[in-house]
Amino acid sequence: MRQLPVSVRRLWRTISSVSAAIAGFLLSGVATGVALETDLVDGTTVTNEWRLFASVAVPVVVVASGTAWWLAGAIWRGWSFAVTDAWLQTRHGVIQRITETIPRNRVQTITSQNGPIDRLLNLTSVEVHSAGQHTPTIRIPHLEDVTVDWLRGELVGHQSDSQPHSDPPPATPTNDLVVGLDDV
Amino acid sequence: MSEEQPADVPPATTDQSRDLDWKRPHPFTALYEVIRIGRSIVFLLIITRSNVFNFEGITESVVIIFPLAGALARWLSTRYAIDDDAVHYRRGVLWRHRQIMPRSRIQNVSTTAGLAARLTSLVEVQISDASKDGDITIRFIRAEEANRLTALLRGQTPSRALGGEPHVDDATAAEHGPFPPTTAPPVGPPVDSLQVAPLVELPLGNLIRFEVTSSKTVKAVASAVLLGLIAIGVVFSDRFDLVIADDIQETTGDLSLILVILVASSVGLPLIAGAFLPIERVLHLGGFRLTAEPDRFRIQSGLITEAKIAARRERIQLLDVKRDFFHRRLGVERVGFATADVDSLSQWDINLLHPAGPHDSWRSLGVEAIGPLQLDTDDLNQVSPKTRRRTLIRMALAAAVEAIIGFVFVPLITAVAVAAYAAWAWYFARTRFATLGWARSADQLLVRTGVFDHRIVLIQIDKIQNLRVSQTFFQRRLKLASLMVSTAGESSSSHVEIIDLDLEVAQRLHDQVAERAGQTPINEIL
Repeated sequence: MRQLPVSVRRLWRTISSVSAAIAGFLLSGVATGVALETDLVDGTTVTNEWRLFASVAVPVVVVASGTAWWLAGAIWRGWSFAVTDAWLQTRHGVIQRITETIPRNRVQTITSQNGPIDRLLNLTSVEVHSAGQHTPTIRIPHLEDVTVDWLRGELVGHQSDSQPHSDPPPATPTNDLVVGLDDV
Repeated sequence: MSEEQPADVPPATTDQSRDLDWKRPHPFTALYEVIRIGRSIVFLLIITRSNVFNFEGITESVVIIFPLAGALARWLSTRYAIDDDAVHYRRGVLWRHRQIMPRSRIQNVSTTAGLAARLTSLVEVQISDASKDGDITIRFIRAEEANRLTALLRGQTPSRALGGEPHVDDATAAEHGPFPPTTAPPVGPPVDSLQVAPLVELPLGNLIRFEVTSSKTVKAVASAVLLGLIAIGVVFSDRFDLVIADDIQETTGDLSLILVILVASSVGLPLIAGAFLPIERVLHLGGFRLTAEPDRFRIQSGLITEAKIAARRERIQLLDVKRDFFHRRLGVERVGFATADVDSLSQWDINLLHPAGPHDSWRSLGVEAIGPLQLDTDDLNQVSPKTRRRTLIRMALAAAVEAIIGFVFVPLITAVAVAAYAAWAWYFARTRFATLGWARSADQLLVRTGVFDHRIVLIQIDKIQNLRVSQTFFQRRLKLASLMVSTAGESSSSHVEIIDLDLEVAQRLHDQVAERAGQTPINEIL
């Protein structure tokens, strides 16, 4: 099984911790305002409103962004995929762990997509579709572009038989595929 | 924690897409994109012309220039190419989208053209596979190029594609050029159904009895009756007498008439609500008739609007047997199937072998549909016994919060409710464990799900498209897992989940089934 690139962990951690920090900052502002307006806090004892806001916002922002940082790392560690002679398989999830498998010769179409930030990091997300209106689509987020090219070649380029025609990119086998709350 | 990159450096592969002969849609597409977003521009212009925004023309310029530039960029970035293996398609400026469809997976190639496109001899080509959202739409290209594309792709389209043939065949193309009729081709030669004795014909009385006793109907009636009783209780409550009745009497002067109307509607509405479901289903399935031909089933049903479908036996993905709580007591069951035929009219929900057959009729009908059955319900293995504990834990957690609140306000009533709920949970968990089951043979998989309403699904393993093993938080603690198996059926019942297997069993079953499914080429099942 192959893990997602390390740059994805940095991307996820950065985006989620910044988002959580902004949300925590705004929430602290609203909470401070409501507390002062509703006399939940005795306004006469508050000498500096900004100091009150800071005393609420700093711990909230630190805890929120720290939790988001940890959760993003856990999600990254839980993500892995493999292409074998027989099938494409992905494993992911922290609270709920999911293993999805498509036999190689069931692959219908491959779609890839990348946005501006993805392109800065040379990353692309891939969707692998199988037949059926209600069949789940397998999505592998943020693969390196060279890996995406290799994956396309493996799953689409050799439809005449189900054997891989090129060696898979070298990868460190990960024994922590079932990483989740137990391991973090 | 180390930030080192795992040693998964991909090989130095070259991007083959650079060698492809990429083509761009006709420039008319850019104009089409502009027209398509014209409404948004007009709306934004109305806003910017108002007094709310006044930036001396800057806003208007931005509102006009950006969408126009976006439309132009979208056209410039859209390309398509065809090589020996696949159809390639890409579009997008900021978010780049790229799609590859192997030519061997193409099920359908269709061309359409609106009025404006027809005036300019342009067409839109849609290349479809059998997946949910994997279609490629090339908008717009010249008719000659569309004909070249369809001819090229038709040469690779499997003869057993969904629906039998691609929409655009040689004769149609020759007759209609790039604008073929949009009606789907008929499935097989027309057969006078009167000449073939039907395999199943359903008397209307049996259908009505089946629908009236279905769990859905019973639940609808029970819910409606409960609401009615609550309404009657409110009408005759002291509070109603003291507050609302006085108001009504002051307003209308006639309280008795209002009370009669309220009580009548409390009784009548539940009856109407309960009757609605079975009436709809009876109108839908009345006159059901199944005719078996050598290669397909022909089904027709409907008392007012008659629906007819033809389902090829080779495309049948699974058998779906439903036995509701009361139906098991009455010895009847509904036998359905999921098929990969695109013209199966699955939205009509008449993919049935028997809408109200006798108990165990699925065995004989199953032989008709998919051949010899290798499994029976007697072969079912039980899921892990730990499923009972998981069910109890789940139900206990859901009730715990309400119980804590209840003990604070009404301790006696809450204690009685908790005791009753605990007994119910124990019975529910025990019944669920007794129902859940699975069995596997060389070619088939049999699964039974449900608690009070049972569902039995028989899947041909070589029809399986996708497998999914999942573990929730509580399942992980108990080393359990669920295995979901999906087929290419068009209906929503084209998959089934085996719940609460021991983790090792789930993984072993997953591996065995995936390996067996992967041995059959897809063109033999679609």
